Amino acid sequence: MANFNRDHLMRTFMEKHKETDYEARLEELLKNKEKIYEAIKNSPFLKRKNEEAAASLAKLPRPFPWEKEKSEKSV
Amino acid sequence: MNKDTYPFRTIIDDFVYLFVSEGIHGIIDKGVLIEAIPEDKRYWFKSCYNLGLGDVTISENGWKLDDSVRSGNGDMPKIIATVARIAMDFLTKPPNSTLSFQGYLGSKSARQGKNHRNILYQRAINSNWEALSAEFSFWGVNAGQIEEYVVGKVYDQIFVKYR
Repeated sequence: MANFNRDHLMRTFMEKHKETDYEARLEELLKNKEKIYEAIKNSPFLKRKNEEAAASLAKLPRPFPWEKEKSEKSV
Repeated sequence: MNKDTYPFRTIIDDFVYLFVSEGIHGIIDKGVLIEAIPEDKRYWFKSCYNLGLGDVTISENGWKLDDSVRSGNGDMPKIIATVARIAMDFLTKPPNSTLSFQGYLGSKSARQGKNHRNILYQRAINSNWEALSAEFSFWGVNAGQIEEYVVGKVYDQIFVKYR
């Protein structure tokens, strides 16, 4: 039982420590947020993914279920 | 969502998110872009958005979103749970928005005829179904048809909307 409690405390401590590391890394990244934002927004890969999503959505029958839900709600 | 997730931040606007993944290859910076889906050159699907995920890297040419390799950092369930949490965060913002998930079909997935990332997205949804379905509506695309999401069924594309 004592071992379990010690392990549990150690794990919790490590997780908290890691969480702080991630936050620090994010803060570091945010110093370059304008450049990173541009890189993500202009990514050819994500542009292609968006076009693929548009193409696959265009093939699906209309109205979409969420459009039906919306019009039912507004009646 | 009771899954272990990474902390994340939005940058500049509510459509670009950043988080940090840690696994067998060390630290990898991840970027998520949520973007409105264009219907064609003139029209836009009404409030329908696509979610894309990639690795954020820096080289001598500056920052870029790297899609050249699967990062294989051994923490994909945690990444997927983080992306699911980002999706939930986003869906509570623009009114009546619907989000589309379509996992990246890498060479391994294509060889096996399975979309592994979609399977993981669905695993995250299925294992938290009770909590998620109370707040969100889900649909799946199967054989070119949209249907209400059924837990355990495999879909090519998933749509989710805040109720």
